[in-house]
Amino acid sequence: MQVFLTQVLNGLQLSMLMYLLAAGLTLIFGLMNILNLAHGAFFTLGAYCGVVVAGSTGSFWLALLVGPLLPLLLGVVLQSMVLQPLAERGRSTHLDLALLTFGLLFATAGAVEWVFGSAFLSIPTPVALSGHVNLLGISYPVYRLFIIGVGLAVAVGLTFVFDRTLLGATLRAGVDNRAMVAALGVNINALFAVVFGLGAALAGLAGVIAAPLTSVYSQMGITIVVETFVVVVVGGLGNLRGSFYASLIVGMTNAMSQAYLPEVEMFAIYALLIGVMIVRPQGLFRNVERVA
Amino acid sequence: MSNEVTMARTSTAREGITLASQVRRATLVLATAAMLGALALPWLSASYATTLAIEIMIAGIFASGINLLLGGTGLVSLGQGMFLGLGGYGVGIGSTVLGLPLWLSVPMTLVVVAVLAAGIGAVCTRTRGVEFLLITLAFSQLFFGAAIKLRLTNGSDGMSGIPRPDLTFLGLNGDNPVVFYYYVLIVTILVAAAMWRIVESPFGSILAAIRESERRAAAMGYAVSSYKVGAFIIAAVTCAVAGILQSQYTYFINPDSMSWQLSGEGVLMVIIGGTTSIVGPLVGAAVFVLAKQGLSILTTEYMMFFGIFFMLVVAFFRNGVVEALKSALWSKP
Amino acid sequence: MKHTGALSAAILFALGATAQLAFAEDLPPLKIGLMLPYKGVYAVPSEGIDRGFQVALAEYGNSIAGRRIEVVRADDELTPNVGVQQFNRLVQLEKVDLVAGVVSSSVGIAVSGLADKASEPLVLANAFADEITAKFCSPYVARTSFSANGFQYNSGKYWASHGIHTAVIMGPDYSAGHSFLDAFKRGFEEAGGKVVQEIWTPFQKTKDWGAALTQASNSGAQIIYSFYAGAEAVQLVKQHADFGLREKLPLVGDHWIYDQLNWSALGDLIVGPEFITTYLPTAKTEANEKFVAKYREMFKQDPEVNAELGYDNGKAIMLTLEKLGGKMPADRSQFIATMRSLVFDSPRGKVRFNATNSALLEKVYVVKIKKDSAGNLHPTYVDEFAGAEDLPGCTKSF
Repeated sequence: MQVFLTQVLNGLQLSMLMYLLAAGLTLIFGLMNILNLAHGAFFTLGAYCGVVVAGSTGSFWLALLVGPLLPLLLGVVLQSMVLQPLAERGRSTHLDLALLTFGLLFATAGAVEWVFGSAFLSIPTPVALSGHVNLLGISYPVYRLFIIGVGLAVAVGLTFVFDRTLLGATLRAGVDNRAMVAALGVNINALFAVVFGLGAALAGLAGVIAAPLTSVYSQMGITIVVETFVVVVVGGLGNLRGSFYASLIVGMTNAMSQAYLPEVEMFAIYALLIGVMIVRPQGLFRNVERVA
Repeated sequence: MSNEVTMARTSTAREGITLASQVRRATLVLATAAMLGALALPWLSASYATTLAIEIMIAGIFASGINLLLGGTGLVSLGQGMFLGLGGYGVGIGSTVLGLPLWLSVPMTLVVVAVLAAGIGAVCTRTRGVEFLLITLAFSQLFFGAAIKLRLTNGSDGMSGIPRPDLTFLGLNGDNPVVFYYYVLIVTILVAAAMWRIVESPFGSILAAIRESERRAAAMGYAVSSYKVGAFIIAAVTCAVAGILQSQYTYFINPDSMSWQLSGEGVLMVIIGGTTSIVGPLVGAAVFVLAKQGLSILTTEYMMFFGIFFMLVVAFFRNGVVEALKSALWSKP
Repeated sequence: MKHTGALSAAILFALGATAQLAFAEDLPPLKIGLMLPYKGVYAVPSEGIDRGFQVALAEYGNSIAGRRIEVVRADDELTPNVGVQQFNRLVQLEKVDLVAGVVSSSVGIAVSGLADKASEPLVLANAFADEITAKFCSPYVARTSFSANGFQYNSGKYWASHGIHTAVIMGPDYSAGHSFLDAFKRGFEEAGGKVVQEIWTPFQKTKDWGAALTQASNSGAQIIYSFYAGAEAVQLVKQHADFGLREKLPLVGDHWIYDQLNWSALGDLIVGPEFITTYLPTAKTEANEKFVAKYREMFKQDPEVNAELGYDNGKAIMLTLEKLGGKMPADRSQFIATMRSLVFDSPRGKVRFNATNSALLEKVYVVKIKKDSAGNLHPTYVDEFAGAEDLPGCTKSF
C-alpha cells in the first residue's frame, strides 16, 4: 500500500512536469503544424538560466521567475525571425522545419556544455520546500508536492486563458482553421510568435522546477523531448485539455511500471503511443475538430 | 528569316545535346575514378583512411535504406535505427547465444527483420507525414527499451564477440582491416546496384508516383498501402544489412545503435547527399563521417557545431550536396 | 648593400637549422593515448583520474630514457561505440604506442576485444568488471586498479559480521554495477547475511530514484547497499535524504557514492554515513605523502580516490617503460607481460598483478566523514579489511 501511494504521488509529480512541457508543444503543433524538437532546448536553457540566477542571488524564487524569460525571448525570436520567414519563402516544408529544430536541439546542448562544462549542476531546494511530510502513512518530500501544485496551477490558468479570454478564443480558432483566422484580420504572425514564446517559457519553467530534483546537464532536453511528444500525440494535437489527461496517463504509466513492472519501464509509454495511434490516431481526447 | 530561326533553334539544340553528352561523359569519368579510388584505397593511404572508408560505407548503406523511403516514396522515418540494431542483434544472438555459423544467422536475421518490418510497416503506413515520423520513432524507442531491459540482449552492456565472416576458405583473414574493407566494399556495391534496379523498375516508378501524389496513384488503381509496406520492408532489410556489417566491424552491438539520435543522423546524411540520386546517400554519409571526425579532432564541442551544421544544411542545401554540385558545375552558360 | 636583408635572413636560417640539429632528440616521443569519459555522468571523476595520471608522469619529468612523453586525449563519452572509434583513431591515426585510461566497464569490454584483435597494448585505469580479466582476458590488456570482486567480496563479509543481517542492493543495470553488487552479495550471504531485494536502475537514464527508494524502504531490510558514481551518486544521496530515509534505512556504499569530488554538491549530507574506500588520503606512508605533496603542488587541491586510480595507471606505465629502457617491444604483449611482473608501493598500498594482468588490492578501509570546528571535512579511519582475489574464468594462457 505504501509503495502504491508513493508511486501515485510520484506519478502525479512526473505528470505535472510533463504537462508543463506538453502544453506548449501541443499548442505549437496544433497551431503551426511544426514538430518543434527544439522544445527540449528551451527546457535546458530555462534550467541553466535558473542555475545562474540561483547561483548569483541565492534565491530559488528569483530563479523561478527569471529562468523562463530567456526561453520566452528566444522562442519569440526563433519563430518570427527564423521559422516563419523560412516557411513563407516556401523554402521549407514542415519536415524541414522539424529537422531544423532537431539541429537546434543539439546545437543548444553543445552550446551549454561549452559554456558550463559537462559537470552536473543543480539549484538547491529552497528551505521552505525542503524536508518531507507525513502523508497518509508515508513520508513524502515537500518539493515534489510543490511540483504537483505548480502543474495544477498552470493547468487551471491555461484552461482559463484558453476558454475564457479573447486570446484563447483566437487560438482555438487558429487550431481549427488558420486561414479563416488570418482572413478575419488577426495578425497571425504575431499570434504564432506569442504562442511559440509562451510554449517556450513553459518549457523553461519546467526546467527550473526540475532542477532541484534531477540536476541540470547539457543533454536533459534531448531525453525529455521524445516523451513529451508521446504525451502530445496521445492527448491530441492542439488539444490543451487532452494533453493534461495524457500527461496524467503517461506519468502514471511511467511511475507504476517503474515500481511494479520494471522490465517494461523503458518502453511502456511507447507501447501506449503505438496502441493509441492504431486505435485512435487523432488522440484519445478529441474534442476539437481539425481539418487535414 | 525562317532560316535564321531554324539556325538559332538547331544551334541551341546542338548546344543542349553537347551539354548533355558532356555531363554524361563527366559523370562516367567521375564514377570510374571513384571506383578505381575505392578499389585501390588500402594501398594508397594509411590504415586510418581504410577505417574511415569502412565507416562511410556502412553509414552509406544505412542512409540508402532511409532514402528508399524518403526520396523514393516520400516517407520520412525517424526509426530506421531499430532495423540497424535488429540486424546487429540478430547476428549477435545467432552467433553468441545460439552458436550458429554466420552463413545461417545472417539470412535468418534478414528474414526475421523482413517479417517484423511487414508487421510494423502495416501499422505505420496507415499514417503519413508527421504522424508517420512519430510512430516510427515510437517503434524505435520500443525496441531500444526492450534491448536495454532484456537479458537476451545482455541489457545496456550489449553483446560482444560477434564474428567477422570466415573467409579461410579463400585463404583470407576477416580480422585484417584490408580484407574487411573489400568485403564491405563488395556489399556496398551490391546494395547500390540493387537500389538502382529497384528505383528504375516499375515498382520504383509507382513509389515515385506515391511520393508525388498518393491520391492520384490510388485513383490510378494501385494498391498504395501494399507498395508502401513493400518499400518499408526493403528499406528495413537494407538498414539491417548495415547493422550486420556494423556489428561485425566492431565485433560488438549495444542498444545505442538503436537510438533515435542515430536515426536522425541517418536522415541528415540523406539530406546532405541529396534524395534524388542513388549515390546521394553515400556522398552524404561520406560528408557526415568526415565532418564528424574533423570536428572531433578540432574541438571537444563537436555537438554544438554538428547542430549548427545540421541547421545550415537544412536551411540552405535542402536539395543536398549532389544537387548543389550538379547545378554549380553544369549550369547553363 | 642590396642583398643585406636576404643575406641576414639566410644566415639566421642556417643558424636556426644548426641549433635545431644540435638539440634534436635521438628518438621520437613516446605517445600514450588517454581515453576517459570527459563528457557525461562520469565527467567529474574522469577529470580526477586525468590529474592523478599527470602527477605520475610529472614524477619522471614527462620523459623516459631521454624520450619525451606525449599524451593524446580522447573522449569515449561513456559509450562503447564511441570508445571503439576513438581507440581506432588513437592507434591508427595518432599512432600511439599504447592506450591507457577507460572508466566504464562496458567500454572496457568493447575496447579490450579490439586491442586483442589488433595486438595493441591497453592499460585500463578503472573498468572493474570481473569478466574483463576473466572471460575476456587478453595478453594485450592489463588493469591497474582492481576487480569488482577484489573490492566488494570482503565488504559483504565485513558488514555481515558487524551486525547487518538484511540488506537491499541497488545499483545501475550495467556490467560494473552487477559485478560490484554481485560480489558484495556473495560475500554477504556467505557470512550469514540475506539480500532481501535487488533493485536495478537503467544506467545513465535514471533521474528519479523515487520508485527505487520506495521499494527499498518497503523491503524491510536494515540497509541499502549501493554502488553509483558521478552524477547518479549525487542524485541518489540527495533523494535518499529527501524521502527521510537517512535514519530509517542508511545508505551504505563506497568512495564513489560518497565521492570527495561530490562533497560540495552534497553539503552536510556527507557527514555521518560510513562507507568503504581503497584510498585514505591521510595514510602515513612514504608513497602517499609524496603523492599528496606533488598533487597539492600541481593542482592546489587534495587528491581523492579517482586521482589515486589515475596515478596508479600512470605509475604502472612509467615503471614498465623504465624497465624496458624507454623502448616499446616489437611484440606488444611483452609490454603487458613486463607490467605484470611489477610490484610497487602506491598511495593505496602495495600493488601487484595476478596471472591475468589484473592488479590486486592490498586492503580496503571503512571510513566516516567528520566535520571539524573550522568546518573542514575529514575522512576518518573506522576499520579495515583485506582485498580479495579475482574470480576465475580466463581460458587463455599467456
